[in-house]
Amino acid sequence: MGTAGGEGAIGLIEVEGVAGIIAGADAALKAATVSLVGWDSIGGFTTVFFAGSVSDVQAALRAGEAAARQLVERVVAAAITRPDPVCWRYATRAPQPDLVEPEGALGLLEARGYAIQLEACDAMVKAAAVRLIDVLTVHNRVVCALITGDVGAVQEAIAVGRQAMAGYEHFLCSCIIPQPVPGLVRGFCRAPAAAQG
Amino acid sequence: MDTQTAFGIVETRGMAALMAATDAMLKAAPVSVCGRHGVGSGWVTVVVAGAVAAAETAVRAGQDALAGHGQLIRAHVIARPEQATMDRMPHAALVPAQGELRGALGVLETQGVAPLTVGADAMVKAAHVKLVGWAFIGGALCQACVAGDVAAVQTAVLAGSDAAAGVGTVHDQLVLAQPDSGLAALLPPAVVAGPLVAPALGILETTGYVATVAGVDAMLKAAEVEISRLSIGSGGRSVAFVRGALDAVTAAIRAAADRVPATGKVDAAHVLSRPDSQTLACFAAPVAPAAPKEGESAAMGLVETRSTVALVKAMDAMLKAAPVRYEGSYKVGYFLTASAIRGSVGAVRTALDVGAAEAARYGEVVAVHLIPRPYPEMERRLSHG
Repeated sequence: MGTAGGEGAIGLIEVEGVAGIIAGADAALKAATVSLVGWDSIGGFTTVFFAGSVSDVQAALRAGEAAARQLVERVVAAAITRPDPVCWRYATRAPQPDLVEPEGALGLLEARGYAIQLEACDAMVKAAAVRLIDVLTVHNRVVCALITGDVGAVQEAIAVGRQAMAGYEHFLCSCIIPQPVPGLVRGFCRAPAAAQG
Repeated sequence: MDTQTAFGIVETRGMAALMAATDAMLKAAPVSVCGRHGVGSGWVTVVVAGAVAAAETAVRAGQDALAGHGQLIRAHVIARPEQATMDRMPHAALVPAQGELRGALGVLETQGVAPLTVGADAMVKAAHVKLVGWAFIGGALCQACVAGDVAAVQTAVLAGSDAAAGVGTVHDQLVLAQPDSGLAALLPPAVVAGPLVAPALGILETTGYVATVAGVDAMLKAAEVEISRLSIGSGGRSVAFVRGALDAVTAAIRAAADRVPATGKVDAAHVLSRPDSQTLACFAAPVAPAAPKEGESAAMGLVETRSTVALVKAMDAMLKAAPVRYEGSYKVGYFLTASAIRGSVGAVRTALDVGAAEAARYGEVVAVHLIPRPYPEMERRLSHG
């Protein structure tokens, strides 16, 4: 995770739900030399933390905020320069070592409620050659499914997932990241149930 | 799982509704519970597995059973679910058979812990029933379950519902004369503490963590009461239980109700006289105090916001502004998150001023509170159970 406590800067992006910060983190990590430090949820709002030099964090924040805004209305972004060690500890969440970083595209489908997500996930994996990576629950009913496969398959699957949610009043957003930045999935997801024993 | 070729899924708002639906599903067709999942705000889902026709029958029966509850979010059957995918979904992570079901089951579900505690106490006093346990469901909803013979459970739930309504909002109630044994998967965790005795129990429930801490400090200073536990709930609620003589508990709760409005909303400040030993064991079993910490008599500063960005910015600003020590962060749901710092009164005051100003630039600041001389050992007694 590079930078030691007290040096450099931490960038924070906060949105409602989790799809927005995954897309935001991807854009931020691509825009400048920053590393993903961790993420946190406080009952519906989630925040991603990334670190780097002050100028890199500023550039990453702008890109990340813009990407998040494509998916959600309310985005709060901030940088902390030379953060206190306490902030580092608060921000840091170890990535899942057992999780194999998927090589293909990443698809995100977010809605309120769990039953609808079960239906949509089942429909998605049946419709195209995609694999479910994880389902993230961040409270306030928000549930986000992450799938992977080649770009075409993910596009097809997300279309099918959205179709399964057509008419469902609590649909929130969907997003396709054709080439997710390495480490993105490991930073957000748990190891698959099988690997957890 | 080879012979189980379909999933029946029912999602409701509220656990009593889900229990009613699940019991009907299990009785209507040969299906078994294969998972449950809560996603906050009181939305809970049960997943049952069985043959396609059985799952369809079960889901229909579950929906019918909800008629009196009216809390259905979604009901659905997935034929031939993709098993590898479904095993990875959160509902499959654990299906604890959390207890044994004997006799009838009564469920009381309220908005907030204070009405639930009062209701549960009325239930065990009204009839010969066993308090099985209680749990947060999400969005400030919580439930308590009792077991016993049918007549006793019916009497208990009626009495509990009446008593709870006097303190707060009753969300739902349910009596199942002969619950299916599979329903054990939805029961709250069993009570582990043995019977306890106290002349009175004080219950302070607030929206926000800071308000409860401020209230606890006021209570401990106002009268000779002992703090049992502080529970961080869901839907923004935190709740503190204190025990002592009736006079002392009454004085403490009055002091807390006076103190809290400056820092947050009081949802309930209630004195329960002569609580049943089951009620005490279930809700207010004391948590063993932690080991003494250095500087535990130092002033305490608390900031609560509705944004992680605002809170972390405040933390950074506070720690840089004055010689204060970071103590911890606390999330109570409903977008609320708080941090505590310690130091000299002057340092904490300076830090809070700077931190609150910084936080306000990024999000809503809900509470800023300084306790110059926290009750000795308060920190150790704030056992977050």
